This record gives sequence, C-alpha cells and structure tokens, in this order.
Amino acid sequence: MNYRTRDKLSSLAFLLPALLLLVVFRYGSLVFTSVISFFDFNMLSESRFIGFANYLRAAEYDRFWWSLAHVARYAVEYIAGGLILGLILALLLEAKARFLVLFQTLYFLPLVLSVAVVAWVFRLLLAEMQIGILNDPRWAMEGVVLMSLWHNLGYFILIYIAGLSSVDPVLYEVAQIDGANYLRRAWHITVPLLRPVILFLSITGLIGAFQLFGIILVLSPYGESAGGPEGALEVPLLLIYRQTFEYQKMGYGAALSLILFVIILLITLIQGKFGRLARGVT
Amino acid sequence: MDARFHRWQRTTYRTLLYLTIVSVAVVMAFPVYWMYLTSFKTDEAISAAEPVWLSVDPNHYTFGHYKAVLGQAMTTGDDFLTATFNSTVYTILATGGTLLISAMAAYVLAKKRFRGDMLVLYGIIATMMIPAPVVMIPTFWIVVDLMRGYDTFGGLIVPGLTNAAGIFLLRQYMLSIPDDLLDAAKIDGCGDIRIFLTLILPLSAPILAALGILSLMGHWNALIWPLILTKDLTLLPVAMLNLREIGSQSFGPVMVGAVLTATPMILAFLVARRYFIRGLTSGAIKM
Amino acid sequence: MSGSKLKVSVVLVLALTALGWLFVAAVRRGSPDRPIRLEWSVDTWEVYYPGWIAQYEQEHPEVKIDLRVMGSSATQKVYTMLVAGQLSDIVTSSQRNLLVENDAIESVPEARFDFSDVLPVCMAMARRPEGDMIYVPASLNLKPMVYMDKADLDEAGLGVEAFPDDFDGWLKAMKRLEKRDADGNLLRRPFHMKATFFAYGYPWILSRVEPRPGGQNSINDFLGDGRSRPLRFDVPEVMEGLRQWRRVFVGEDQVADGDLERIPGMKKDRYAGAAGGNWMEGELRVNAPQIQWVIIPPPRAADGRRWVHAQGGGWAVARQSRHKEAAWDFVRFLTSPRCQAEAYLAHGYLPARRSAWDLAIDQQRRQGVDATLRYYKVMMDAGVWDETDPTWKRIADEVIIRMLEGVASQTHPVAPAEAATRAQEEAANIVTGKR
Repeated sequence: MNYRTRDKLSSLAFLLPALLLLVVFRYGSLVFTSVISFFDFNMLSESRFIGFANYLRAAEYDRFWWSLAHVARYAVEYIAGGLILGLILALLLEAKARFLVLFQTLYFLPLVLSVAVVAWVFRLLLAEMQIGILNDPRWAMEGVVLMSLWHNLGYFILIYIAGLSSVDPVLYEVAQIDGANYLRRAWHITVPLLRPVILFLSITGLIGAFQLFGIILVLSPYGESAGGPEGALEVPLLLIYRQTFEYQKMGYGAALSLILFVIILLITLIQGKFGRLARGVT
Repeated sequence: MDARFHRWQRTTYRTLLYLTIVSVAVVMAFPVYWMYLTSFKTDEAISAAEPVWLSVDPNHYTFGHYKAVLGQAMTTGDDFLTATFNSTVYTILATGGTLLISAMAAYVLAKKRFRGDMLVLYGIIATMMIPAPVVMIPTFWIVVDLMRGYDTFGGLIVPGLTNAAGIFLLRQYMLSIPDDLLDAAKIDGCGDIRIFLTLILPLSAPILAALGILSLMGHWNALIWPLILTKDLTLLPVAMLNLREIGSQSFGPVMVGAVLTATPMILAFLVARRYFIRGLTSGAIKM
Repeated sequence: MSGSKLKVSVVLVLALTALGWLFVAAVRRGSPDRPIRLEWSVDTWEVYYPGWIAQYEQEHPEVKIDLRVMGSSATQKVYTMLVAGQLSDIVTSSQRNLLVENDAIESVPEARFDFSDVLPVCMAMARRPEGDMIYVPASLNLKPMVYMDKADLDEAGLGVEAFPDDFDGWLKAMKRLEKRDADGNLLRRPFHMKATFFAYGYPWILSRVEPRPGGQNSINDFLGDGRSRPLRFDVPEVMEGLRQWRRVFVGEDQVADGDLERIPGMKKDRYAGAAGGNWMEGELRVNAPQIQWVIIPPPRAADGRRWVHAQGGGWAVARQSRHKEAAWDFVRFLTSPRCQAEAYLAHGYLPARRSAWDLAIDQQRRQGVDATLRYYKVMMDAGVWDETDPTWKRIADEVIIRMLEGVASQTHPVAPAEAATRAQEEAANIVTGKR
C-alpha cells in the first residue's frame, strides 16, 4: 500500500464518523420525513400509503395555520426587540469604560440557562408578583416574547459588540470634525455598517423563533394540554409534537413539519434577498 | 458654544448612560437572584401576602426544600440526584464525542485536498438549514427501532454528536495552522493520527475550548430530545418539566431544581467566560 | 486560562469521556436475589408509594418493584415505551385508550379477584364494550365541586347543608361570599376558577342529552350503530346546558388566574374557595392545613340531578409483561381496601371499594377530624361516567373543551348555539377520520 492510498484511507477514516452521522441524521431524516408524510405511519401498526391525504388534512387544519400566525407574531416581536434593544445596549456598553466585565457577565448570564429554568423562574416569579400576563389570552404571547428576550438579549448584544469592534474609528473622527453629534454619527455610520450583523441576527433569530416549543411546554399547567390560555400559545412545533407523540399520527406530523420547513426556508430566502438589496443601496 | 454648557450636557448623558446600563443589568440579574432566594425561603415566606425579597430574618429561610429534593423525598426514580448524575455523564460524553468527531472532520477538510472536498464542505454547511422538527421523527425511529437505543445513553448521545457549525469553525481555524509544521512531522514519519493528536489538537485548543463550552451548555440544557427518548434516564431539564404537578403546590422545591440545573452552567460561564464569548462571536463573524 | 492549563483540561475531559463510556457499559445490573422485577408506572408520585413498595417487598422477597413516575407527558411516555417494546408491567389506567387500541393490555382475570364490594360505576367504567375488564378499579374521581373555606362560609351565615341547590339560589349564595372594600372594589371572590376549568363543565352539557337505558351516555350512540339513540351536540338541550354552565362558572367577576394561584389565593383570602375535583383534597391538606374546608357540590338542574362527572382509575397489566402472575398479585395489593383508604386519606382519591370508604371514615372519626368523605356521597347519586371507548375520549378531549373555551372566551366569545354546531362538525370529522 503506497503512501497516497494510505493517506486517502486515513482521510476517509477521519471524515467518516461526522459525515456518516450527518448524512444519516440530517439528509436521511429529510428523505425519511418526506417519504412518511405520504403514509399513515405510527411505528405500532401497519403503514398505509395514503398519497397526499396528510397534506390535504393539513390544509384544512385551521389550528395549524393559526399557530403559524402565533409564532410569526412572536418572531417579529422578538427579533424587533432583540435588534433594537440589543443595538442600544451594545452602543451604551461601548461608550462605557468602567466595570465592563461586570456588566458583560450580568448581561450574558441568562444565556447559559436552560429553557426549562427560564420558564419556571418566570412562571413562579410572575405568580408571586401577581402579574397575570401569562394567563391572559390576549397578552400571553407577549409574555413569552419578554421571557425570550430576557433569556437571549445577551446574544444580540454580544454579536453587535463584535460587529462594532470592526468599525473603523477614523470614520467617527471624520464625522465629528464635520460637526455631527453622537446620534447622527450612530445613525448614519454605525447602523449602515452593521447591516451584515443585523442580517445575520435576524435570519438566525427567525429560524430559531419559528421553532419555539420548549418554553411553551414548561409553561403549561399539569393535567392539561399545553398551549396556553385558550390556545393563545399554540405554536406549530407544539402541534407537530402533539400529533406525533400524543395522537400517534407520525405521517401527519411529518407532513406538518415539512410544511413548516418550507415556510421557514421561504422566509429566510426572502430575508436574504432583502438584506442583499439593502446592502446594495448603501 | 459655551464650554460650561457642554460639560453639563456631558454629565447628563453619562448619568443617563450609567442609569440605563445599570437598570438593565438589574433586570437581567434579578430573576436569577430570586431563583436562589426562593429555593431557601420557607413556605410561609413564599405565600406571604407581600412578597419578601430582601429580608435577613433567619426565620424566613430554610434548607428544607434542598433536603426534600435531594433526599429523594420528592420522587423516586425521577429524583434530582440521579438526574444530576445522568446529566453530568451525558454532557461529558456528548461534548467530548462532539469535539473529537468535529475536529477529526475539520482536520481533513482543512488540510487535505481531494476531489470533491468543497462539495463535502458545502454539504456539511447546508445541513444547518434543516430545522429540528423535520429531524425529530426519523431520528426517533432510527434510534428506537434500528439502534434499539430507547432510554439509553447511547441513544441520547449519538444523534447529538453532529455539529456542522462546529466543523466549519474548526476548519476555518485550522487553515491557519502552518503547513510547514505538518510537512515536518510527515517527514519525521508521523501518521495522521500522531499529527492529529500531537499537533492539530493542541494548536486548536482555544477554538476547541470555545466550541467545547458552547457544546457543554447546549447538551446540559437540552430538553426536547431527552424528553422524547427517555423513561428512566432522566436528565435535569426533563426532571424540571416533570415538576409541573408539584409546582402548583410549592415554589421552593421547583426553584431548588432550577438551582441544580442552572448553577453548574453559571459556574462554567464564570470560569470560561472568554471562551464562551469567543465561541459565540466566531460563529457570527465567520458568516 | 493559560495554554498548558488548557491542554491539561482537554486531556482530563477526554480521559473522563473514556472512563464514562466504560462506566456506562457496566451500569444497570439487576439484583440476583430478587429475580422478579416489576416495573410500575404512575402518573404522579404519591407520598405513600415508598411505604407500599417496602411493605410488599418485605412480604414477597422474590419481587423487586421499580417505580416510574411519568409526570406530565404521560401519553407520550406510554407511547414511546410501547413503541420501544418496554411498556411497564403495571400501568395506570389513564392511558388505557391508547393501550387498548394497540392491544397492549391484558384482560383482567376476574376469577382471581374479589370485586364484590367495588362500586358498580367503577366496575362499569373498567369494562370494554366487548365485555372484558381492562383494569382493576382502584379509585374514583369526581368533579366539579367547590372547596370552600368553612370560616368564610360561617362569616356569610351560610352552611353546607343549607346551601341552595338550584342554579339561581346557588349563584346568589356564592355572591354573598364576596368581600368588597369601602370603594366597592372586589377584595375576595367566591371561588377561584382556572382559566382552563372547562373540562369539568362538559358533563353539564352532555347530561342534557337523552341517556341510554342504564344511565350511561355512550359514544356508540353518536356513531349511530343502532344500539341506542344518537348523541348530538347541536341540539337545544346541549345549547341550553352551555348557557347554564356559562352562567354558573363563567360569571363576569370570575378572574381567570392560573392554577398556581389557586391555593395561595385561598390562603391570602383572595378567594373564599376553589373549584376543582377531589384530588384538591391532597393539595389542600399539604399546602393549606390551617384551612378547614367543606365541599359545595354543583347545583341541581331542572330535573333534579346534580351534574357530576366521574372518572375511574385503576391498574392494568401489560401484555408485554414477562411476570403477569406477579403483576396481578401486586395489583391486588394496590387495590386492597387498606391501600385505597390510605390513598384517600393522603390525597383525596376516592376509593372504589365500599369497605375502603368505611375504613377511611372510621380513621377520620378516630382522629377526631371531620369525616369529609360524606360530602362526596352527596354527589354520587347522579353522575355522567367517563367512556372507555377511545374514539369518544379523543372527541371529548378536543371537541368539548374547545366548545367550552369558545363559549367562555374573554377575547372571542362564541354563542352557545354556534359553539354546539361547530362541535358537532368537529366530532363528525374525527369520527370519519378527516381530522
């Protein structure tokens, strides 16, 4: 066996575990999900091929489309809040010099907590303070938005700070000489240069937001199905979970998750196009 | 412009700045503080008409909830002591495994040329677009039916060993490892394994640490997959979910559970803060 | 962290990882001296379970009982266990529909049990339409009723025995339990109702429908298979029932607090009582022992019957079990009068055996406490029994709750007539498989 062959085999061996796992658990899953979405499949009884029946049911499944509206509302509010608040706080932190480490620590601390911990702490804290927002069907989702922002704002701030550090300070000096005050400098220089960061945050934020689920599970009281007061917190992933594991309709769940995937994909592509357009304008 | 006017403006701005930053910091910290506080509060203090947040009265505090939760007086087979152990084992194994496998793949993708190497790289990156719900059902079938891994550590760990973003980041970092070093080692007769273990891994230590801490936290805090897959093998976040029936009666034990789940990660964060930050920002910047 | 410390930590982590794999491989060995290992799944952990297990293991040295608490995701847990072929030997009856559909439960060998003193309603609920019993009855759950603070009742000059029975009288009496301050603001509400208290309401609605001979409403009627009269939602009786239910349980002053506020609210005197089912006894005993409570049953409808919903609970043995004999023995122990009485005294689960009722009342009298069991007997004269038919269960879980949610909604209220019609459509969709 000559050197080149040995080298190739070695490379293969090193690459194989990761490649195999990814192919099986990602691409394989995609194929599998697509296939079973055409079947009545539940791992216990015989699978029947039912063609597009699952998709037709999905079209009539009002609750699912409502859940998309719920999660879209969550996504918009969460991302807007994160982008705006994150930017403001990142700029404020930049201006500040003392005790930076202390504030950094406190801002990033909630990021390391599990979704289960965040949900429980807020649920009990709000109950003790007698703030019933999570029980009010009109504002329950806003409550969840606030919880998620508390949890993840640190990430927004962090990425902004990283982006800000790549802004050439010379630009600021030039603007200052020209007489621009702080706000004008921020708006006309910083924000446009942060466009890639903003785009990154909004795309990743959106993909994550549409998969909201864990918090809702933990928030629901024992003995009742999850989904918040009057179903105000029902989100697509919750319904998929329910169809798959509580109603044992895996084929249907697969169809629903594919629909969700396509929607997320479309929104991401639109955002990407939009972001590139905006960058071109600048 | 009047110089005095400017100074007054500056002080006002700075005061507002400090005020905002500090108030946000308080808002961030308060729930965590409350969590620790409530885990020690007696039941009367918790259900008092006016919330008790700053009392130093020793009558308001107790270790009782800790004794209940850790002394297995709360639940058997689902107790937090076992859950902590399970979580620790799972997290260490999963994190170590992920780092190893990702580093191995990244080494090949960074330092070896072969036909289709870009294709493989893009293929790996593309998997990041596939969201969790699509993957959930088939993974369950594969692990339970094919691997017979229901309720086992293996079943928990194997699906979580893949980390496309990690492979990408590691590869980008490894590109900067000088090829001369590798060539020198090859001339000395080192095989890939030696090179990997003695050169690549140590030189990639910073990025491995960054990824490691992120992976550690992700695994420790994982909720959905362990919930679906396990029966006996409870992990801490799942144990917290199962507290829903007790939670309506007493806040104290629930917060003890939260403290147990959160504290290791808080400690890890305090120790490895720089690597944590680096791991998060690398991900963004490389995009 | 400096460079060498980092290397050391990395090596340590890898070493731990390797050790971990070895350890995992060695863990989980059964004990050879107790060859029969029974796995017992329960929904919630009860404080008396360890005592029971200890006693049983002492009396049966060859058996080891493993308790598994399934918690809030019981359906998903049972399903995944079933799929993986690892269903526990003894399972709670709460997921019986799923298990019956998949033929996973062993029929009860009735000849080996003595069911002479089990309440007839419990026996009926444990039976499948095909005639065999799928679980051994252990407990009975009744709802809805209001647990009222006796002190508040006395303050308002009301008594349990004298509490009005009819809708209007009942509502008026409840109003007397309100407390307002000088400005007229509501300080204390009559009782706490969860925002999702709806499930308790549905017997009210269903009781309006013509019952099958024998006193049971069956989904088979709905399917129109000729066994009895059809059960429909979009009939005047159901709509009238919805209207009355809305009056009683969804008054304008009812604040939909979450369930976390239920008992703390009673302790803080924001509520004079709390609506729920008999499991609340346990919660009250543990978390509010200082409150002396009584039970106010729901009012009677025009035909004199109190609409109470009953649900049976018990223990079943899995067909997958490798130790069925031992499992049935353990089930017999679990459903003995002594255990049933203990379960009631600890958590309020009403016993399925008459002898257990007597035991519990005796115990309470000996302890000098109020014999609270007698309040439930009042509600036993009329009841709508939970169905064992899986299709019915699925319809009930979704359709009826949504119907009630629509009627009681604060944001998008639906008229009772329309809610009933929609419910009928949904139920039809479920039955024909479109849903």
